[in-house]
Amino acid sequence: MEGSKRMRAVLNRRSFLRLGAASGALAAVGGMATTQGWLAPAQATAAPEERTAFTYHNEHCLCNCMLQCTVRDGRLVMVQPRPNSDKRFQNVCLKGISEIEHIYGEARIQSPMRRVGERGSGQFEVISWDEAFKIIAENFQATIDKYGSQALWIQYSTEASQRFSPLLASILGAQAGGLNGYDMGQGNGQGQAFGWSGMFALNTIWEWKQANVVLMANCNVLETGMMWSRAFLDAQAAGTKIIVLDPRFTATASKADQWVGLRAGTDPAFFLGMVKYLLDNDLCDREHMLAHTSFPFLVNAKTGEVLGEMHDAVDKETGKPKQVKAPYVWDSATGAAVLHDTPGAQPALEGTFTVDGVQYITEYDLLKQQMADYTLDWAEGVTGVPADTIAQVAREYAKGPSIICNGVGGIDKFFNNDIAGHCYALIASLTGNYGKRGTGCGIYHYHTVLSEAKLGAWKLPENRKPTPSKKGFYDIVNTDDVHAAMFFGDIPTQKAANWAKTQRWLDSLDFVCLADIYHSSVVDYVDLVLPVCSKFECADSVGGVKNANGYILENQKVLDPLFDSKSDFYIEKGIAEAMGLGGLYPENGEEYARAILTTDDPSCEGITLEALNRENGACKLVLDWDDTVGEEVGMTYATPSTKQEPYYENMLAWGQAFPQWERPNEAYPENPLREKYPLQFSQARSRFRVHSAYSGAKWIQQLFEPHIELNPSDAAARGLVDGDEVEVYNDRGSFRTKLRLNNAVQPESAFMAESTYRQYLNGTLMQSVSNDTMNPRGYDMMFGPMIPYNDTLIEIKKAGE
Amino acid sequence: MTKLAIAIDLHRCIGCNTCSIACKMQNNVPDGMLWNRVLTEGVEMFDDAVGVYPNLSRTYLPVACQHCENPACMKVCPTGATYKDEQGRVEIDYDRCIGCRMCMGACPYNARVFNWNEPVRATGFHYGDADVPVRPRGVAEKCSLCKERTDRGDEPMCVHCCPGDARVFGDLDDPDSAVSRLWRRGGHVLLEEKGTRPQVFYVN
Repeated sequence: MEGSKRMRAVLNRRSFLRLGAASGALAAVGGMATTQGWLAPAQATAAPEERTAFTYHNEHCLCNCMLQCTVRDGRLVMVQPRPNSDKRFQNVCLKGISEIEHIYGEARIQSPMRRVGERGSGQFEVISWDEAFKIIAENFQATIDKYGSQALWIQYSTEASQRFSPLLASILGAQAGGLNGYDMGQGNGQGQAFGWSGMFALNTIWEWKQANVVLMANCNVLETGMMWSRAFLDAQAAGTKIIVLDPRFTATASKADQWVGLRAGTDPAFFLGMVKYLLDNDLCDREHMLAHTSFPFLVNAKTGEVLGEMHDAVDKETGKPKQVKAPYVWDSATGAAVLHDTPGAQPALEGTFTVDGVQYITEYDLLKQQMADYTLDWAEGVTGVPADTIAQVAREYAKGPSIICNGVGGIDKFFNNDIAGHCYALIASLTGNYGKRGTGCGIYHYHTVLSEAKLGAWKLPENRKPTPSKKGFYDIVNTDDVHAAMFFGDIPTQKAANWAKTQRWLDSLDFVCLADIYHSSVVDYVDLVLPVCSKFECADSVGGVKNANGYILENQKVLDPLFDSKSDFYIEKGIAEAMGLGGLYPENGEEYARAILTTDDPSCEGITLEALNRENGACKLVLDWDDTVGEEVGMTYATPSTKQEPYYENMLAWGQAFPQWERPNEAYPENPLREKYPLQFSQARSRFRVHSAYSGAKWIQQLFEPHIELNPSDAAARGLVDGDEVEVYNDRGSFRTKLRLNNAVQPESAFMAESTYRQYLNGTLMQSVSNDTMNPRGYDMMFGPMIPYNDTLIEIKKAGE
Repeated sequence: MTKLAIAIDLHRCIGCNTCSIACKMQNNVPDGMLWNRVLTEGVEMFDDAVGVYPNLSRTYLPVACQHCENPACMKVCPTGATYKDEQGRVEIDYDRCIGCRMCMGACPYNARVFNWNEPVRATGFHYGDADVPVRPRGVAEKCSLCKERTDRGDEPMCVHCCPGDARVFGDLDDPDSAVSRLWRRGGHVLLEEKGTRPQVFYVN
């Protein structure tokens, strides 16, 4: 500590001091300087100097809370909600406030560091930024020269990147990870029916008050996106019944009007059982089906192919000509097959018809045939939910108006994720629960309002455009296509399952670099570590601007970069300069921000940096309509027929034109592997994390320590008690943590809040056990396959036994 | 008279702990301490549930100083350090606190914490409201109903930051205040049988 004392004696400025790197000092992981050692004393002079700055918080929970930050004597001392006349957007949560400690905490990476021991040893030496940029430039250039630019992988996580869109991958022609691998499986399944992305709903959570029932499918928003909780609670107060489907009795389940604890990975079976029950009991909306859906369309009774004629059309996205099939219906009036939009036609919803000697049936009749096996008893057997409950939920949902709100976890982390999404679209189309007020499907949280501005961008030359990778990170770890990589944030533990495989891939690289704010799990496995500053720190007056929640938000400078950190913008710029490409970057944050704010979108009229500063970091978009609820979604869609099309002809080869049950890949009850590994393992976000972020936040640690949870009955069967140190394992690997008992966990399963830096898990990683088997069907869908993290079987034993 | 109070709607409390951390920040509460904690009723571990799967229930229960009308802590304080102020708040005069911890034993809500050692803050500096007094080693401390904020006419920080709008602050002596209306709607207090008459109350 002598060095620290000396530093204090020398430094007497009240602002934070960024010290030159102590070149050559060996900085093993635990041996970093303390905050007090780095920073000048807070109360060095008489009168405290206090000022206020405004920014917005972590967008990875997608709340984008607008924050009012108080800085006293150069320290961040208060974080409060930015005052707003619209209380929907006056928010903060425990994570936002905990930044007061977190950004100064011991988990911060403080200096650029070069590995000096073996990969994984955690031995680094501190180097200067100039040295770091030179090393990266040399290694990147060597890779590009030897293998081509596509052998370079540069990927960004939301936590470690600040507010300006990254440019480096585009400039270097590197791969940047084109497919996500999570969160989008239900979207894959439901988007096609209504001609939208399948992700964020086209109406808002503020419309929930107009629904009789909101069915939340594996969505724990009261923990994971707290700023939306008011709308949830207000809808309940207005009389909306909220039903939560979740294997675990989550915070959201405990606040719902009804909780349905189905077996993990069986959501499609629950919905297929509902569909069959509604069909059998004639509880579907025939008028809606005839007027607004493809259920009357004719399909070949043998092949499932839709009867229609090909018409010329223009692809709305590309502007290129394409052919679109115009389907036929059976016109009861004339007794003939006619185009579905023939004026005056009276389409038959049911029946078998012969056209040119070939037998056709309506989609509705085909559905009835295909749902034959999905009885309530069958659904009860698969899901573990009593048949009566499935029928009751089906009746209440069908009565409507009803909404299905899905989250971005749960079934998304199982092999059969898309089928669940497809089921939501199917049952909504059958019951008239899409298009009208109080109905809908999709994600209702983690979501901006309906007003989205078209912002400008920093213009790169034509030959420096982004080259999105056709592959996801989960694919690339199975190839030898990449020889050098750089990550902003701990991508390798977040975007791939089965850590042993990821680690082998990391070890195979010629060069790998990590830029991160905190000492995340991947730090020890790379060659070069760069300290990124938190979102409260930037070198310029502005660290970014973005559109969220119907506002343009400004990331004002709250603090200068702490320790020897830089924002990702300046890290990228430094690398580009070392490669002779620095001229492609904006001069500074102000220039970048002004480029983003340069737009002819009328909703951004008058929104300049000066206006943002005047308005305390947030300007509401200029709209001439009410963006709280928005227009009714309506009955015309961007589908080929413009109607609701829950029949996916393009998925015939996969047997999924209508959704069909497919069991999980690993975590199904009859899997023989259950004898060895009897517990299904779920990981999900909690209020104490945004993925791995906040693992090192001391104030959060006071409330929550990493642990795995078992139902008391499963613990008793293993002779385990609350608080035991346990090993969690399967054939892929193992990790160590503490055991807590929780009645909320379904028997025969285990739960752990994701995710925690390895230093808090005895040096192990929870991704060591997770399933990395990708469903090949996913590659035929818009967002690609999803990683089946929770389609995983494990066993738990006392550590050391 | 003024009788400041907080009503907590237990259905709207989502157990997020934002109140705990907001309070910690505002009041410069040192490491290892909280003035405001969120419990899970009927179980020991936060977020556990009562019952056997799948017949479960859970109620989050935020607990801090109840600002009792008849405070047990005040009665046992030998120096008068704990007092009931003119706005109905239970406050501590830290200069008069001798660290005997009688108040901690008397408080049926376990609302108080004690500075056994020199207070440590992981940040290495004081945070929160500049007007909040810094407590030395050897004194008891607890929720002050954000005295410094409420003296300025602001609501307590836990109320200001609550994401679920579960907390309502106001004057119970004003029959038209939101807290008075909530009390009349069916407020209940913790450990009513103790006769402490809390001014923090709960509605379901």
